[in-house]
Amino acid sequence: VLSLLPLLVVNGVVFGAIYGLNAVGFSVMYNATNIINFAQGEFLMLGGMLTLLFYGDGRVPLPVAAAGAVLATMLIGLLIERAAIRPLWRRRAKDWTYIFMLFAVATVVPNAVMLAISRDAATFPAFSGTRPLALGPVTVAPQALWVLGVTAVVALGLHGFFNHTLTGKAMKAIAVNRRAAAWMGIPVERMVALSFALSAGLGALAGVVVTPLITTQFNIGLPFTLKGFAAAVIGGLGNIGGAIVGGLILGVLEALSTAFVSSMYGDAVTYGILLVILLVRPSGLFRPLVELTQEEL
Amino acid sequence: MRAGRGTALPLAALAAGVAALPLLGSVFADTVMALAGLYAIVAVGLNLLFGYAGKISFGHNAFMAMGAYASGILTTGAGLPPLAALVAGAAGTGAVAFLLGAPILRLRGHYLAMATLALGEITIIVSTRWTEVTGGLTGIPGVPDFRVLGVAFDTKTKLYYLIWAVALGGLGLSFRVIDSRFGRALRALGAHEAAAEALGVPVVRYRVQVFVLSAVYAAVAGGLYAHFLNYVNGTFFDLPVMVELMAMLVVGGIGTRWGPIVGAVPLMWVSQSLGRYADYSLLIFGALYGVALLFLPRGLCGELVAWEAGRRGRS
Repeated sequence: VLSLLPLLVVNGVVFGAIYGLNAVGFSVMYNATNIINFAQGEFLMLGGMLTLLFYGDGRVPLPVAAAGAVLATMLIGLLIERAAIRPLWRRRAKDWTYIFMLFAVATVVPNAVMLAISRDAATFPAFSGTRPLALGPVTVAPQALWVLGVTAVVALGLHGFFNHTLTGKAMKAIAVNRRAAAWMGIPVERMVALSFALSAGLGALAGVVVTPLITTQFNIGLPFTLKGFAAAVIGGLGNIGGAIVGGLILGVLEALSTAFVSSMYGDAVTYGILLVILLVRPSGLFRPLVELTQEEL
Repeated sequence: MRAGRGTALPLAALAAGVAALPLLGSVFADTVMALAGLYAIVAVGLNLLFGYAGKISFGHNAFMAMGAYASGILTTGAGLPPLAALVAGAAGTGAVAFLLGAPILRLRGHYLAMATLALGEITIIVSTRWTEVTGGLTGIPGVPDFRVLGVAFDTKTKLYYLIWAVALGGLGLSFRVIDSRFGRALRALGAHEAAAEALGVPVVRYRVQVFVLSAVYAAVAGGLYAHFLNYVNGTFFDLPVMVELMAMLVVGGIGTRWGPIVGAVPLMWVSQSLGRYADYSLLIFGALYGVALLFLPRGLCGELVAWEAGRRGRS
């Protein structure tokens, strides 16, 4: 089994990158709103399912279908913010209301997809063929490189966005102190809407690049929600770089545990890792963008 | 607000209504109402945990499953009488909740919700794959009819009476809890944990106790469900059950005495009346419960109480 180690690690890193992208989605929204999005994994599912819907039998070029799916998911994110979250925000609803609302969203979205698009598992072709590439001791699918490349580009892009653009800095300011940010003239509601669009887009992008490696189905959102959250917590909730690293750590842990401990219980092992992290070190391995107060933990 | 006064009469009226329903002679109505009763039992426990102590759980479907498997395994495998199996299942599930509750309830808000969600998912995955004990996806067939003191509950209507006897007992017990010193402490704990602790509420002990109590409610409902279907399968307790429970609580009114019953009965009618549109069930539940959060934030019971109070305030 030890000879499989490099392959396991590479596989873990590839899926870890997906968890990382989703974890960034969690962190972006958390920074702007203090909300943990129980529907984050649904964005990933929408990315894959909408690409499938647009792609059809190949009438639309795959890149166009994929771009359309990401944009459509971002619009759905905006719609969710507008219809379900902003009214709660305006009436200053209690914290638990958001949790319940997003749980409701995470129920409605996959069931709507099941009824409107398809209930079957399906996939679409890899972006650049399936001929495995030899990389030192392991061979990887070209799609895996797409996953890693997209993750790297997104991480760099977000780094630039949050540190070098006014909008990005404004979003960070809201995370640090919402009231002070509003006093400085930052349009908080618009930033919140933007954070929903951005997390939705990140989730959808993850869904688009991962789908050729797996199959997608209306019900794959929940596992990705739990794993993305686990990655975000490992990386220090709200820390964008930490989220990516957290995803990679979780991916490798998952790959190793299924190989060396047991593959029988599948995702249950990963959820167990999530529980252990929450109980042992809820503040994560890296510094969160804003230190969590006792109230929040 | 003394216990008994103000609740005894509606409770008696509800009991009379429950007793009268089978006179309609509709097996369908009895079956739907029996299921509503099962969900109401779980919802009453969740309401104590969440509505009063402010602790969210998205994982109580796991405790229902544990109760169901205990009843299934102990009656078919070990040949225990159903009542003994039910009690053992409730006690065992309570013990599990005790062991899990102490560490998990240190978490709050989003973190607690996510942790309990993970716990529920783990339980369901294990229950469907641990084939030697749970029968895996085949489940446990041949669970005998519930039987106590020589009385066999061998029809849906008889079980309906049994389930509602338990549900009304559970509801009455929840009223006693709410009006007790413990209940007041729970409300303090739900409002502000640190403040409650400063006032001398033994926060850690009480939050674990209410968690265990709510898990026992769920386990009892799960055990009865096993006898209701004469069958146990972990997939029956997957996340949709939790969605339905949450919808019932939100629509009925979280943190209100009657909310769990007021939510459970109509929603179960909706879900069982869909017929060939059964696929729409979860969509409807999710939408109902989102819309209720937007427009009826206190649920039917809570809004009614607020409306009453407003009317009384004006006159």
